[in-house]
Amino acid sequence: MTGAGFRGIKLESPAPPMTAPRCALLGALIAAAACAPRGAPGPGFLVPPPRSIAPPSACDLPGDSTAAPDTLTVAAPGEIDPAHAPSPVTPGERVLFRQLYETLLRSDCEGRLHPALAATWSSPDGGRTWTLTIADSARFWDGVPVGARDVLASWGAAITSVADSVVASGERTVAVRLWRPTPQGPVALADPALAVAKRVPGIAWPIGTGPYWVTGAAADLTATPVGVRRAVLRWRSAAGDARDLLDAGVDLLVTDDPGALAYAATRTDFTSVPLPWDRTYVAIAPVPLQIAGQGQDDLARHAVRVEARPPVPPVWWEDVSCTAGALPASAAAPDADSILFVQGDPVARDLADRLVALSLVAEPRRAVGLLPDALGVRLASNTGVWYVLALPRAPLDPCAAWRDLAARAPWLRPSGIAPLVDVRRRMLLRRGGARLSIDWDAVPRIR
Amino acid sequence: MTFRTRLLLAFAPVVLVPLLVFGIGVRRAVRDRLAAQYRRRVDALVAVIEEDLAQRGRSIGDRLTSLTAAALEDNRLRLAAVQAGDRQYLLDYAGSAMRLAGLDMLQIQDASGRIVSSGHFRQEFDRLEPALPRLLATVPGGVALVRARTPEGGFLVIARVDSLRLGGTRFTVVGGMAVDSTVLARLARDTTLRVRLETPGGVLASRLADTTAADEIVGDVPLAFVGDSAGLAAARIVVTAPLTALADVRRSMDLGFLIAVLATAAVAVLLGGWLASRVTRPLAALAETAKRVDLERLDVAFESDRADEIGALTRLLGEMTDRLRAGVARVREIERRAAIGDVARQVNHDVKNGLAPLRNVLRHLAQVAREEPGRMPQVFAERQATLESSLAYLETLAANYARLYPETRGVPCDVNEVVRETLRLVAPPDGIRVGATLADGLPRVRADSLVLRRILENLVRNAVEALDGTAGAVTVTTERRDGAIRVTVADSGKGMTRQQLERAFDDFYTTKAGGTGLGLSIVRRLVLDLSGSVKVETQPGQGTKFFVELPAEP
Repeated sequence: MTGAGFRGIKLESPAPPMTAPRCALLGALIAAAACAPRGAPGPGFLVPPPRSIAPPSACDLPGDSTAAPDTLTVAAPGEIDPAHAPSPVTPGERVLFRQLYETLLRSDCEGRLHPALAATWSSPDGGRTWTLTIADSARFWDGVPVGARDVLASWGAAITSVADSVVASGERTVAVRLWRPTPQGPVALADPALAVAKRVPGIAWPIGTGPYWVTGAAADLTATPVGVRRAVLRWRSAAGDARDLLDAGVDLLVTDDPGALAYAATRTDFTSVPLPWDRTYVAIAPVPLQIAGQGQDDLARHAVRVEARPPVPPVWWEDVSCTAGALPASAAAPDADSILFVQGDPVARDLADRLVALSLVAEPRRAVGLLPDALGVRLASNTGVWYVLALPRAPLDPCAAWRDLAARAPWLRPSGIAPLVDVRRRMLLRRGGARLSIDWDAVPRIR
Repeated sequence: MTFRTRLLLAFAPVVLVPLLVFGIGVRRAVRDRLAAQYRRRVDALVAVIEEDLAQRGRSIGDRLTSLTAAALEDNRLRLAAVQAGDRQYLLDYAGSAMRLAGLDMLQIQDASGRIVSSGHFRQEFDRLEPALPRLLATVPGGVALVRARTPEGGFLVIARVDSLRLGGTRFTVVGGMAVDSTVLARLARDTTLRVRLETPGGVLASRLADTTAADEIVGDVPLAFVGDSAGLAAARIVVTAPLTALADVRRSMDLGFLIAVLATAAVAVLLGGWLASRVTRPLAALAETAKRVDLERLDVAFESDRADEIGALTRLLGEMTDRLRAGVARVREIERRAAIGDVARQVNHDVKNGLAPLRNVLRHLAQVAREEPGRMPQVFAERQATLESSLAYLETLAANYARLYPETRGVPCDVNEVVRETLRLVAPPDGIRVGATLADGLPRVRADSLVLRRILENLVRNAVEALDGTAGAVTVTTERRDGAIRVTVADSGKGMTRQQLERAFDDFYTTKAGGTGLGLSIVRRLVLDLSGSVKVETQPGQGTKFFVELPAEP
């Protein structure tokens, strides 16, 4: 196995004899990886630093242009529910919805902003208020042009997590006043929760503006390109053994299943593309927590069975500008005999088990998996005392992410969060597949 | 306590005591037999559990032997364990091997006691637990009960230890099978038996609801136990046969027995009552008859054709009554004679009293005729009043004595007719009502109607006089009563005191001015002559009732 390790995207593939096309592809990917983020930002920069609007480059994965397929079969973990659209909940929905629905702006894997529905954006006050002009070409799947009111209607209350006011200043102009200035651009508007769509009664899927429109039910979805010639997407459920998907002809599989990754490494027709580290698993408690570096290394190397690393500081929840109002954690935790995690999350389970096994946190003696709703209730009332959760590693708006976390766990203080491991998924790409771009949240976008 | 009650009380133990003795005996026999049966079941299950544990131990040993043989052949494991190669493979090895071998617990430790791979708790790698294999190696038979850790808590396994050597390094392998309530329930297929596993940390039962019963038959299988402490401890699988089923049987028996006792008691009471009634009824009748006997009423018949003691007693009483009747007749004759003597003396005295003035007048007249014949008419005229007075006295005296003892003659007589005739001749003063309530169809009595009328005249007159001139009522009632005719003369007068009542029938006793004191005395004698009886009920101020009972004609 050969590979090129970078802080950003890492490309790995089986180690067959190098062939010319493979060398070309590898070279392109290495070039892409060279543009990955340059390590941890310096003190005071807890979010991606201001970036200039640059043409797409480093996050784009060139496909095999000589054999662009007519159909692309895609699979990613998690169920697909049209009721969630356009705001994804599961990783699978993230991948699918990214092809269907657009935000005003797009942020790539390096944090650079790109026009999407909005053609231009500007701020007269140093980044607090942003005026965005919707592109003339922006249209819904039904051909109706996207107007400012459509955008506001689609956002609804979701915009309040990042902005305190938003107005349609023109038919195609939206003025957004963010909670705090972001001179590098209104990056928070790239959040998929702010994707634009309109619901039509009687139609399950909201009408979007993306390059694909979708038909079918969750078990048999087909995404058809709108206008431009692209490959038709066929969606497959990733439930069950991921290796079976590879054998069944899936062209793009997003997974962190070590069995599938090991299996793909034995297949010469697949390329393994590491996606950015997108999640940080943390232990949270109402008392100050700290996991030593050696413990984090142990967790990353041995405890979890997915690709993991010790968390790379700094972490966004320590951004004092967002959490300055939070009270210090209390000194003692009562009745701390359990550590809770989301049932069905193997990484969280491994981490919770390991914490119990080594007593890295002293009190918990049992690891208990709960369904998401039940965990949410326990988290809100703080009856579980210890929790293992997955947080986004680099949210677009750390303050919005903190507000979201504080809403789920009102008792939580930054000192009560101990990062455990960073994890990421990989893309298994059948050679000769489509061209892709990787967005800020490690979601591939088919170009 | 009545004789009947005594009979019943004596009858109940005779019936119930044998029944109680029988019931207690049966109860004890059933309990002993069932307890012995439960004991055999418990002992049999203990033997089965011992064999099951031994078989599990052998099975675990065989599986560990296979696992170690396979591990020795696995070069990837060798590289990971000895050359620090693929650590993830090593960490996952025990889990895969455990599932393949069908074990519930598998732990691989290196020579220092560090866990290098754990099947039941993958994340416990690198923990130091050298005591577990060491303790298991010291257990006789090599099998012990172990509390295995998991992230969710702990669970109990029957475990044993094996070892293998890779690259010169010795590794110990501890494998086991879970012992949970399901396993215990499978052992306790006989639902009347319960199996529980007692460890220093608690009790695991074959059924959730199982609790230690106060009364149970117990058998146990001792086990070595490796828990959280550093040394071996004792555990045991306890087989119990709660005697609740036996208690149920006993309760059913007790209930049945109670019902039988109650039913028997009821039958005994009824039977005893019937028997007592048969025995005591003639006695009660005899007592009732005897109760009617008194000196004024000796015409009670004691007759029985029974050949038993009651018949003899009845006849004895009859004979005694006959003797009593004869004695009373003799006493009455003596009384009569005594009374006649008294009367004779009284007559003598009274006649002398009446004759004395006559004699004095006659002597005076003789003296005048002899000495002063001329004054004869004058003297006669002077003493004529004395003569007439004395003669009147004597006539009155003769009349009174004539009423004292009239001649009686017994013929069938209608009492109601005599009452009506008597009342027709009564002329009560104003304000006094004299009436009669006469029963129809009364039998006749043997009596002289004149005597009977004298009795009634005396009583009615006495009643009217008792009203002492005030307004009131006198009522004569006739009725049939136990073979006799009762005539009741009641007044609403002043009644009598106790002293007056005691002397009411004495001769010459009277409380009325001008009374002779012979009325009630004559009544009593006349009634006795008719073989009847006379009684009085009176209260001062409440009036008086005279009851005259005369034998009815058959």
